[in-house]
Amino acid sequence: MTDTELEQKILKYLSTVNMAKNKSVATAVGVEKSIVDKAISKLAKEDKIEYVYLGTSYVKLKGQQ
Amino acid sequence: MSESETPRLDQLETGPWPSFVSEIKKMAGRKPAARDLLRQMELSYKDRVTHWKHGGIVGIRSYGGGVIGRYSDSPEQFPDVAAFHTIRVNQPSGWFYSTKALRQICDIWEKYGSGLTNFHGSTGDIILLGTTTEKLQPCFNELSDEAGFDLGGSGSALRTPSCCLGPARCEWSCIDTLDLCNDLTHSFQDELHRPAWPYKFKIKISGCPNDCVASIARSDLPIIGTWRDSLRIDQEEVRKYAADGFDIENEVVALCPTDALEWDEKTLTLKLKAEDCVRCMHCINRMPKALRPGLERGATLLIGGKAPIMKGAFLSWVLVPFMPMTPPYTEFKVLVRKIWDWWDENGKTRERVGEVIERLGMARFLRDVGLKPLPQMVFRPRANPYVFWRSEQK
Amino acid sequence: MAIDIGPPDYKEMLHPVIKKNYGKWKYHEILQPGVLKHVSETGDEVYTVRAGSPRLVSVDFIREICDIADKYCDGYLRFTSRHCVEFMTPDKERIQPLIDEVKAHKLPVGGTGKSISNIVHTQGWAHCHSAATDASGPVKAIMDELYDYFVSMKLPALFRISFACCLNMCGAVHCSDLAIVGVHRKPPKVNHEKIAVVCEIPTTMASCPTGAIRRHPDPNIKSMVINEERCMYCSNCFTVCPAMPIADAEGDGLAIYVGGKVSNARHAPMFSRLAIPYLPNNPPRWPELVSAVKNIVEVYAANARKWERMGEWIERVGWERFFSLTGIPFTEQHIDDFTHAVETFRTSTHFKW
Ligand code: SF4
Ligand code: SF4
Ligand code: SF4
Ligand code: SF4
Repeated sequence: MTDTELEQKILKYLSTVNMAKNKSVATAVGVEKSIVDKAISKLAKEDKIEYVYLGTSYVKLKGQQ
Repeated sequence: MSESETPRLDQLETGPWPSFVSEIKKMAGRKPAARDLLRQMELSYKDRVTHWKHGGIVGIRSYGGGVIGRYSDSPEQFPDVAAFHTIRVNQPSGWFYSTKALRQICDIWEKYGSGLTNFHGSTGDIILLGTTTEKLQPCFNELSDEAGFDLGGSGSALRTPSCCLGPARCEWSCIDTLDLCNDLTHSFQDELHRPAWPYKFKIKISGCPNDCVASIARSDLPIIGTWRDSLRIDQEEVRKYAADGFDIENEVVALCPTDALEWDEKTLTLKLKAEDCVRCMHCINRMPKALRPGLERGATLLIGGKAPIMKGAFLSWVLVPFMPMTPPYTEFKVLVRKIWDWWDENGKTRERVGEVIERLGMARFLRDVGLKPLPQMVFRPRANPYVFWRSEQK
Repeated sequence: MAIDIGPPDYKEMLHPVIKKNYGKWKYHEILQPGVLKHVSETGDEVYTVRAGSPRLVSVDFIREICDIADKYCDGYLRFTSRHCVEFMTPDKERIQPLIDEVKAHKLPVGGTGKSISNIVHTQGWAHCHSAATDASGPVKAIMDELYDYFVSMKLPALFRISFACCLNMCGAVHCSDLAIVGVHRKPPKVNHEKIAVVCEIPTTMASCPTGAIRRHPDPNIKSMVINEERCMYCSNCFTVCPAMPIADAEGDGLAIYVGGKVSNARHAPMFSRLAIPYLPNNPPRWPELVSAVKNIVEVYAANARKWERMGEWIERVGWERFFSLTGIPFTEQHIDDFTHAVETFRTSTHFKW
């Protein structure tokens, strides 16, 4: 899987949920968490995802209700 | 004469200690948000509950933390604090500042926020207290581009590391706390700014066992400076203390926790059984001119400290009794990454590393991160007979 | 917009005398309360004047202390871990004018050695949704009363007071000579309408340390119920689920814990332990809290030996004596019933009357 494919997969998964922890994203896309963490950081820097804090931190698609 | 809007808070302007109410009032004339903060607090003082709601999603582009969203529960009544978000700004090591840097922060914050701050917040950041959602990004841009400051950590991330003033003004520091803190903070920007873990992780650094930044209670991974050889004694200076009437026997020798000191009245010498000294700092604290830490210096690393949420408070446990601490701190960085990976893999949501260790066992943790069990790690060995053996050990 | 630039280089924030003698300090003396003298191997000296601050301060306050630092300290200053401000100068002649100027700004000089330094504290009603009490207000009221202990050094040892407005204990106050904690005493009120919208039910149930939260017995209602018998009002559920508010004007108040420390000097670090389980929230000046704190400080000051921290004194004389000397009633709340409770039960016939 290329980086871009992984990012697409992550975005696709996030479009199916309200919000998720990085760990559940990694499980969902079936890729090692440390790699998923890096991809999520990159997506954050590209302003495609944002973070929610509710007792712990989650990520979600930017602007998704 | 017009009546005060805040008769209760006004009563906190009397008395000798400087008053936060007077501070908020200083801004209230220029900043409507400061005035509404006062009015909302007055309401809390009247009905004895908070009037802030849970935060929502607010943030700075690219960052997963550093901003605490805050909304009033009575926005009609207090429109100027309807949104009153906080920005955490990463402090320079040891909380040292040039007035130039501080004035820059003040000017930016007066421009974009309420003009109210905490110097500092509990984790050690500069807290800029209260602004609106639209002002967050421009405020950050100016802090970063003009003043050279960055956000601190929040959420399930590495929290802003902090340290004591160490070698900058303390004769006892066994490690370069300021450099270490600065180096780690710069090395772990992604961990600090984009929360990816089960919960928060704190690193605090003290230069000696006096632990002025309370690292042992307040951080998951305290780094505490220490020495391996014998503390140093200048007998000439010891005699001066004695000549000045300082009661060496009662104020120092008798209070040594391990009975490692002896005061010889006849020869006026202070004798140390170095192998019995646990480096508690008491004698050094009492006689700073005569006693000093040893020369073979490094740090003790501990693990697991935290406040009560969720499963009760822990003081940190000894993990590495002695690790040399010199730049670029590679040995430390390799270990801390192993610890993060282990915790991230095994921890449940909102479980701090100490709680995971308690649940899964210290022995397993040590094995998984590749550390040998040592007697320095425990006060005493187990008393119960419920001992596990792994198959390869039988 | 630059990101991830990290904190500015601390080296740019150091006074030249600090930079020059970095790592070369030899010893220090406390010249008078709030005034330190550090001497370097190079023979250089630096004098520090420590001043109290309310922590919640305006940019005007910061500019004022910058003016002082520009005038006397060549444009540098620092803060301590307990929110005090430190002014440093290599010039002995400047100490007195510096102190005078700090005092002219109505800031107390002190907080060194055997004193009560500034109270580490949290946000309270000024900025937190979780607060069971205010923080800045009670801290101001206590420091007004204990002011004399800040500007003098007459206690047996240093004395650290910390304040947290809920059990989250931002700033982990749980190892202080005297810790004050905002507490709830009523279970959260579940908002069944809101819950399905804003909360994740499994996460919320898992957040409860005592397992007090169950799914709503009616499967048609997507919500939860609390077994009130098992709730110890920790507010964990509210942290993850905004639809379970716990604040309650009548139930909320403060508790005092004593005898903790973080320093390794003499005794190992220890937790603070419960002295007073509940005091009412009584703004604006919390008189019950202030007098309870003062009583404990004074009993300690009168009874502890020189250099004995609060916890060291109590461990030496015994907690039973702490309660009799302070006149604080011992109640069922004082006996632990959480996870490691049995470790605190007395397993010996040694005790005092
Ligand atoms: S922790 Fe030790 S080295 Fe650091 S400031 Fe305190 S006494 Fe000095
Ligand atoms: S440092 Fe502590 S243990 Fe060591 S000799 Fe001094 S008082 Fe005793
Ligand atoms: S201690 Fe609790 S109420 Fe106080 S600031 Fe922290 S989370 Fe908020
Ligand atoms: S307040 Fe604490 S004990 Fe009570 S239900 Fe909520 S999480 Fe459980």
